[in-house]
Amino acid sequence: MLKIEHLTKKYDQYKAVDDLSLHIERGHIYGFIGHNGAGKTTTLKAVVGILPFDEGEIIIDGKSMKSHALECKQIMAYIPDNPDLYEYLTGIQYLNFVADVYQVSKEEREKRISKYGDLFDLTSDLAQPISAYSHGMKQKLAIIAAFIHQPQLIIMDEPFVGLDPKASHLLKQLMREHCDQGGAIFFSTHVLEVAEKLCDRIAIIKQGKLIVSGKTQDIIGDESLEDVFLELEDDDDAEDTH
Amino acid sequence: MLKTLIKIRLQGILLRQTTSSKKKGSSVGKFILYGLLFAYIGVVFIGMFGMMFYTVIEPLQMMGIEWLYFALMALFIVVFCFIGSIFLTHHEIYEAKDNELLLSMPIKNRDVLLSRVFTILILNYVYETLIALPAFYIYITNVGMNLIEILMFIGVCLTLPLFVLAISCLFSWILAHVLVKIHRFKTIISVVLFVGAFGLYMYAVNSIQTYMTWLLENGKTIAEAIESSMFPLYHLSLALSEGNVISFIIYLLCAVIPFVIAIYILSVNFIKMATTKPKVKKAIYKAKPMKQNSLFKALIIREVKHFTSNAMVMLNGAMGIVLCVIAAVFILFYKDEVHMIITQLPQIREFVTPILCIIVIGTSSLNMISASSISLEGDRFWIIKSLPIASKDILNAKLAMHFLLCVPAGLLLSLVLIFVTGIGLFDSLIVLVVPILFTLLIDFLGLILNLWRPKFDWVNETVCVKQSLPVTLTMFISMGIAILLVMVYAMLLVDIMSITVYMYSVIVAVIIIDVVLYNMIHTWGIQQFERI
Repeated sequence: MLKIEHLTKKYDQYKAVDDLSLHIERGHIYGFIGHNGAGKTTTLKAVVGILPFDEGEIIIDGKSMKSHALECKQIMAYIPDNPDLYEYLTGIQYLNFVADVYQVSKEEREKRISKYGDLFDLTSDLAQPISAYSHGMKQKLAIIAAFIHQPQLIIMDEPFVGLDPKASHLLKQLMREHCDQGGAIFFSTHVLEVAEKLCDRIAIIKQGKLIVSGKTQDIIGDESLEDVFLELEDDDDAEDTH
Repeated sequence: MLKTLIKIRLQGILLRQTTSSKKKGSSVGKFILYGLLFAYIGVVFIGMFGMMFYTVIEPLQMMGIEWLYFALMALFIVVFCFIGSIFLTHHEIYEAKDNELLLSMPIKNRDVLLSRVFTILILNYVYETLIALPAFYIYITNVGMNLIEILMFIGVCLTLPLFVLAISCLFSWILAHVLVKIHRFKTIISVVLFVGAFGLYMYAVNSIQTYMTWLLENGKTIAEAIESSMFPLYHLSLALSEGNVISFIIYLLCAVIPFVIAIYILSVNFIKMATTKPKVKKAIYKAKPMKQNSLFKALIIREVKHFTSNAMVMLNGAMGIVLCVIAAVFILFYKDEVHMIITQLPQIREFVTPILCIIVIGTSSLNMISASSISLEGDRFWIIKSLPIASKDILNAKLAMHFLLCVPAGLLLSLVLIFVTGIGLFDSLIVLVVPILFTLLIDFLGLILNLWRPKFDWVNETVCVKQSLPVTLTMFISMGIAILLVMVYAMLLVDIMSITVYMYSVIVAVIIIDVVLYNMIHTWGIQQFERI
């Protein structure tokens, strides 16, 4: 579904992402873990076409992001870490805008807005301007907008931040359902307990480089993901010192 | 602590007006530029008020009512400070975003409130200086003042803004309550108020001479009216013109007591005001049958909703639209005079069509909607970048918004001019088409300049239209073109070609420039958009 091949993104001379390669198959929830400034958000933004990259290739469902950006974006959805949405629109106007972009039929959008709006308890607030929304409500709206065209691949950057426990639980369920139905999810998180329980596969990144990737169970073994993550970080620091 | 808080508040106000919070510091060049701008404004206002005081001092002295001079000065200070600080008072006292943060810190509530009050006061003193300084200079050089009167003048200057602050606190409290009620129509009401204030200002500027004459002719009656109905003003004037201590004390009480009451009420209610959010009636969503729009229509709706959501962005970016409508009404109102000029001056008949074109072009050149349309995306730029929308469609929607908003107002002015002047069919066609071609030119030019220099790190959207290089350049280039068109013909070509040939040449040239700029947007512009 998503192939990241030797991705490199530089900011002037600084390599934010350095020769990163990852393959994400259909049906998989792929967790992306790393400390602050490790290059997670840069990678995710390059995947969704927000940031141009310097080297490497991003292939989505067999198509290159460089040459077929629109086709790639058509089957994908993105939820950013800080949902800065159009505050001058109401919730429903924003959802309609996104649905118009993806050309979702009016019957389908009515059905999906009703379904996800009720699910996240946001329906009654959809007539409100987004400027009146709390952070959590904006996050819920961004999630509903992401699901409105039934994408095959969903990219999420810290999706659980700001969500209440119920919404967080719902999102995890939706993520699982989405992948069980043949979709794929690639998301970054700092909540290692969630990653451990939810992800089929995990990748750990440090200073733009991939430290480890693979099946969650193979990586953590008998330990917790938190222990493994801290050990890997320490080992890498020790190697850097030597 | 109070000093630190005041410093932070003043920095915040200056940053809001001048630069983004994300930039670490203003460049020296920018600092000098703003310094020069403020100095220019200061000189203009001091000069303007100086001229006015110079005009009235002698006649008032001759009539034996020189105290009216200080009444006028005080009135101007009160009005000027009130207009200048009412919205700031509203923002600082009732809408401050950092109340919760400050209240959670070990800072006395009194210091938080006083820091806000002092910030407004400092700005009021600046406004006051623009009037009090020339008034003082003119009076002391023409009439003279003794030491007591000078000390009283200083006392008045220090205390008058306190009275203004009390009034603006009351009005901003009313404003805060009114804004909650009219929340949905805030933008429209702001635009109407601004246009109304602008109209009043233009009217006042045009009529100032008439009013000055009226003031001088009716000085005694006005003096009697002030004496009987505005006694604090009368006593202030007596104190300054005659050194009357009793009058000074009466004035001081009248200025300071309202301030003390206002501060007391604010301090008693500060926590409540700072932590209570205004009750806005929540709109409950009721599912309705939805409509599917084409991608392009959805993009246009998004652009228009964004542009019309902020009154200041609208007024700064589309002043030409407002002026076109005002000019159309004005010309209809004075249609007989316009008609008379054309019939009485047959030599200008040949130039009527180009003059009409220049009127519409000049007015439309104040529309810079497309020049800020990229920058206005700000932090939300990720949305259109991550959605499957071709860059070409996004740019075309921005161009279309400028065109769709500006052309109707330009056409209205063209139609009114055609109607009033009664020019022929072919000339009418030119008066209709030329401004449209010129609108396209500004539209394309603005977008290219904004693609060249986008600004996303703003704190307030107004910065995108007030202090951005693309907007300034678009305005100067488009106004420059309008002036250049006239100058080139008048100075170089008047003896070489007829005005009709020149006009056709200009039309062809504008069409060529339009095509070149449009192609540039769809080649370099798209690449640049994808690089941002």
